[in-house]
Amino acid sequence: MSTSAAGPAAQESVRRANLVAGLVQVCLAVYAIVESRKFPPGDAFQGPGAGFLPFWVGVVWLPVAVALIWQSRRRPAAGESPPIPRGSEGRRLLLFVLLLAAFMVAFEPAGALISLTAFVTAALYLFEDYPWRRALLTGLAISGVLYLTFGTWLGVPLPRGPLFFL
Amino acid sequence: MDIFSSLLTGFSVALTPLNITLALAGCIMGTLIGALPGFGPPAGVAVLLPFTFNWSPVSGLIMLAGVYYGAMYGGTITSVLLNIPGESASVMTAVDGYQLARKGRAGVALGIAALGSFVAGTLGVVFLMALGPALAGFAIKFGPAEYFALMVLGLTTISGLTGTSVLKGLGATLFGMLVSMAGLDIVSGRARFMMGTDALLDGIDFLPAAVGLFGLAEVFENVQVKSNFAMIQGNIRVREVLPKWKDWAESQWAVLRGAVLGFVVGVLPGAGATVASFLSYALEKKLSRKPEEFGHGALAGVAGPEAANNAASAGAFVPLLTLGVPGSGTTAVLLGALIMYGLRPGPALFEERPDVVWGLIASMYVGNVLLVILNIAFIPGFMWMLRKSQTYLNAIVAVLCIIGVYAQTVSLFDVGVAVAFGLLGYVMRRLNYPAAPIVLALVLGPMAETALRQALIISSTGALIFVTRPISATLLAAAALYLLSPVAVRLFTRRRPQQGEPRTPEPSA
Amino acid sequence: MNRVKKTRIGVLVALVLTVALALAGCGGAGGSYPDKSKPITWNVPYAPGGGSDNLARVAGKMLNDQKIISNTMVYENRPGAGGATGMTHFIEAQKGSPYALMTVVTQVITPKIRGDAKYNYNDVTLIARIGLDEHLILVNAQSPYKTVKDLVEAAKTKKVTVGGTGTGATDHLVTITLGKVAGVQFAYVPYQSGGEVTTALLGSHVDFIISNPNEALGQIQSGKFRSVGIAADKRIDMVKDVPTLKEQGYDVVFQLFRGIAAPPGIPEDARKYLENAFKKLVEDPTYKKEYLDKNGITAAYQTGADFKKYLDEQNQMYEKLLGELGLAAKK
Repeated sequence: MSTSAAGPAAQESVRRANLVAGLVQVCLAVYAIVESRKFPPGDAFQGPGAGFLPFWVGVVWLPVAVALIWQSRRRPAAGESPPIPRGSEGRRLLLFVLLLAAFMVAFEPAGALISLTAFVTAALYLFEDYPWRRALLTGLAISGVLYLTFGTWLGVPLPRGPLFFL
Repeated sequence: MDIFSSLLTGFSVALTPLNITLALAGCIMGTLIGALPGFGPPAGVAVLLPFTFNWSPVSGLIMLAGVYYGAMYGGTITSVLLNIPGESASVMTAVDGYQLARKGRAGVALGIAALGSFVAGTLGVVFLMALGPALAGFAIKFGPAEYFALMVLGLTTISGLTGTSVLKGLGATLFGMLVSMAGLDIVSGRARFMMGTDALLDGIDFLPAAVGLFGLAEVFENVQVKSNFAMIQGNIRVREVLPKWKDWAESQWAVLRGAVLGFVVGVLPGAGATVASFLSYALEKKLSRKPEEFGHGALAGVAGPEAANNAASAGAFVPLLTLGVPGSGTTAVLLGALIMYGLRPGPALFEERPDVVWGLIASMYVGNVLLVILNIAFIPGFMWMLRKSQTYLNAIVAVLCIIGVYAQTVSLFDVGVAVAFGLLGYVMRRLNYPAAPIVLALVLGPMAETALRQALIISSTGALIFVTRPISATLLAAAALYLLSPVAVRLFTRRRPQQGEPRTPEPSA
Repeated sequence: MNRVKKTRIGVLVALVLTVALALAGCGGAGGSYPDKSKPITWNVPYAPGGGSDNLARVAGKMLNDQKIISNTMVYENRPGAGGATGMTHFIEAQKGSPYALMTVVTQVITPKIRGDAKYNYNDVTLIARIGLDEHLILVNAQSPYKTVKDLVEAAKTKKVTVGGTGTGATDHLVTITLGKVAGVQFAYVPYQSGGEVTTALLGSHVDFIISNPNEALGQIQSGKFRSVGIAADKRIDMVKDVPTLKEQGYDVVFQLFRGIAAPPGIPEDARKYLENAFKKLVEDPTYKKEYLDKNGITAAYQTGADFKKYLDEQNQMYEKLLGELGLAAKK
């Protein structure tokens, strides 16, 4: 999967990540237990009430999460790698996520067609080294097909943005 | 035999040129719609329903049956090629199917899935004809206690299904259950786990989570380096890309088992194709001689679930045709269609309008045949499309995921949920936490909870109801057996963990 | 292919797409209402196969068949939250559009009282009330209960379970009211659709159910279910030998209104047109035969304006009832 080296630093960060994952789960389990107590208990005629199952999920989860924390102290198994990538990989991922966020922000005001085109164009230009013209054309083509399929054929109300005449 | 003569009548209805054309049109459109994430059989049937009014009820139903099956096949395509399971029944297919695709064996995966679906779908129709009414009686015996026990069985098997660490699988399952409980609780009207905002009032849907955990996580993984997809290697001559006899031999038993399991589970209203698909996966993994392959591209892991979910679709017709009760989302839409035609499904329909019922059943056969031909014929086409689009595939998958979620929910919040799950999925992969359990728990959790509460309201003996009722007790025993079997194995074959060997529990169950 | 050729093809594709898009968008220019080319979308905030869904499909088809409205009819089901999900979508997404209709039952009253929705019947354009649906008390034909009294007596000593479509649904309210009048408590088991409730009774998982006649029609006719009472003012033709609850000594009358609404903010001429269309529909004899009689629904036409007054009364009743149950949201 990933191309990160499996050196001792990486292993250490994986161990830490597993530990954090376990801790997060402990917190969530406790949250489930605590929250579920806030609901009224049920009775024979109404059934167990809204807090019943969450409580038991939390109760079962707690030992599992603790076991995971315990397990994280060992050397990580094959195939595990640090969850936050370094270097160029990390930069690319971050950039991509930012691009995605920008797309989502622009989606309703700018309309589906424009934001889709912009996103695909940017993605191809920045990540696949497309020359900008080719990126733009591909972006238009892809957005067009998607808009026709979902918006026109299937009737999904895709936002039109400034292109209200469509 | 009476059934055969009725079936022949059915075929005479189904095999007119008009009806074949309609079935074909339905299959093609169904496949196209099913391939889009967020649009599965129910949406396909609903969208194409208006078209069918131009023809007689029988012809219209035949077209709809084509759409129904087509959409199932379509869902497989995006699961295998793009790792986007558009429906909960396709999740297990995506798990191993996509791995096969990454190894360059996408054609084999699609082909086996198509063949397996065909065999199982046909078997399902046979079962429907032969066992329909008898099974209806069985389905009725399933009350809330039995459903709960079935869900428990399902939930326990999920944890061991994917990945090698049962603990991590459990963690993921429990996380999924917690997520499934966020939102408005229907029974009591209270809001749970809202995290202080109203946005979660409707809860978290399957689609954003699945699309995020599978599709977007994959995109995030791939975006880190410039494209060098090794999805297709070599050329695309038909012989290379289609499955060989050896592949079929490997999968045939999985298909048969999946068909039986899927049909039986599919008969139970509400349980359906999803539960069937991963029970089949669990079964195949348990029975396989090479269980470590599962999760990395085991053909049986694709053949079994695909067979199961197709047979389950046939099974879902049992409650519809015999009781007039829809067994799944799609059959519910079909029920609406039948009502519009003035037909009331139920025991009476078999007698009053045998041409409709048998015509429908016969067209299901026809649909299956058409679809397997279409799908296999199109495999080289898909491979070609994939090769041509390698560099922009990542971008396409990303926008397809987003638009797919938006199409179903028309909510940017849900799109955000998908992206969040995408990031979560990315982190989870790195740490070997399996993603499938979250999504499956998301689907099963609410069903389990509802059944639990209903059962406890009905029961006069409190929680004892689950063990005093025979079917429920059997299912719970099976769940216990499943959980305890690795423990039992360890107890009876003591092994010393060697130096440096990670002491995670055995590649599970 | 070399770069230049690829670019040219790309440009061509883009041009074609733009033209196609422009053409696609050009449809639907102005015109008087109703524009025959536009489909009318029926929004059903309940699952397919249920009473509302049935009404929508049958009414839609009849409007077409009797040539009252010739636009294509499209149906969308959006179940959830007791009808609140579909209603909210209808009001927000279809505001002002005279090409959308919604089937009206309690979703325009109860969700707002319970705090599940922001909207109620005042937020839609009421077109007509077209019928009143009744509630049947049904047991499995093999059960020992023959009258409502049997059920009540049993409930005094043990748990008697009743299956219904959810907390706050009309069958729940009927159950509670009957319990109060009879002085017992029934254990209400919530299911998610009429179909599930029917299956539950078929399997004898619950002792009785309360259902609209049309939802259990098939099972009644095939003899699997037995009706022991009806919560109506007088007996209905469809099940002539079923005594009303009043006759059996329990004064419980509960009718479910069924109506049609359009989104808020539609033009007045559209509203008048729709109102006339539905008036014509209910006067049509096929409507009586194919819909009312087949489903055991009592004819009860009201214009939009009268319907609103009726709903005001119903709203008060539901507020009181739900308040007593503790289901009303705090104001």
